Amino acid sequence: MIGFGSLAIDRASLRFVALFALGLACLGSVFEAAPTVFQQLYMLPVSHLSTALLQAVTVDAILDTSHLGDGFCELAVSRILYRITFDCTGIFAVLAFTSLTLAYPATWQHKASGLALGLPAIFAFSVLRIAVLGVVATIEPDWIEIFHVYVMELATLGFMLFTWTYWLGQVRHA
Amino acid sequence: MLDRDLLREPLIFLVRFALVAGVLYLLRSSISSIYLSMVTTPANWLIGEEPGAVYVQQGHELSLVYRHFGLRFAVHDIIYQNLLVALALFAATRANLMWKLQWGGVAVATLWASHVASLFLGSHVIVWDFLWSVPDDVRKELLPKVAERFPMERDWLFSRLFGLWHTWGRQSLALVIWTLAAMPLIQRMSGAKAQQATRAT
Repeated sequence: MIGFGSLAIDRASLRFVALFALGLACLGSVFEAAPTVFQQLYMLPVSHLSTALLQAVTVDAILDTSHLGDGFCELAVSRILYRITFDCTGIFAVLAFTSLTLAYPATWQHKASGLALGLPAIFAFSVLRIAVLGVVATIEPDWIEIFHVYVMELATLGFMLFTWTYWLGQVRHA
Repeated sequence: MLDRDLLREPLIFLVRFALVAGVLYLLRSSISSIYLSMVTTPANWLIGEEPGAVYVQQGHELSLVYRHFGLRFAVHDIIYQNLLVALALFAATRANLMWKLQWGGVAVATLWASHVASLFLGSHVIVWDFLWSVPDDVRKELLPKVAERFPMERDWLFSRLFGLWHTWGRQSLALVIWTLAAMPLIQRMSGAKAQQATRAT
């Protein structure tokens, strides 16, 4: 044990957190080195699906993906243009969930099932996140900033940890 | 299929996290004023007198003033967004008050140091960002003055560090501190729930 009282840290926790931080740094480096892969496999489908979802709830939404190579899509909601960047799509939650799951001392089978459960869930949440921002932009454009930088940011992190702790329960259950 | 027994504890955590984050949001202006006064003075001390960049706090708003160039920029308040994330995470975790206070203190101290450092980097990055965005003739006039006080060779490194910090660092740091603190509790919590679920089956 390192530290004292409530601040004591056991070696297993320290090892897990070190692996998590290392994994996150590696994934972050991969993202920085090959953003095109993430643009095609993540940002594009999230943007398309959230636009479809907005249109399904009769919000006037038009997506322009011609700037994807520059790292963003443009979403026109009620004729006001919004830029969808990676920050808006909750990419951090995807990479953090992956690192947390891979770093946790579980079998590779469990880790694979964790990723199979968590990544689609976070993807779906990210689609919902953009759609919610689109709805907010329609109803009350003044709130978009608060929702963008605070509400949906925290909601995404909370949902990611919810998914991850659920998976932890599954691992322990098995 | 989702297991209802296994869902309960994560769901309670999520609801508590959302409630605390909501309360913190309502208190944001007050937290902002107190917190900004804690970071402004050390950030200004770190920058020093010579560059002439000074952070000025007005209530819950922060500005960066470049005295020698007559420039003033409003600093976005999300510099401490990860502080609210960390506070919400520690408050939402099922643990005793002493654990929350001690680890919450560690989180606040660590994030405070990171915010002071990011404000220091910001004093370099913001003026150079501004310089690259202005027309060529204005840049030509300002560049020697700016380079004298904010060395150009530092711009590349500081801009990269600042960008990485904003994209990855802020949330990661809050999450790493919380994970380090909460790991034994989470393992115990999910283990107990798993045992309950096993007994139920």
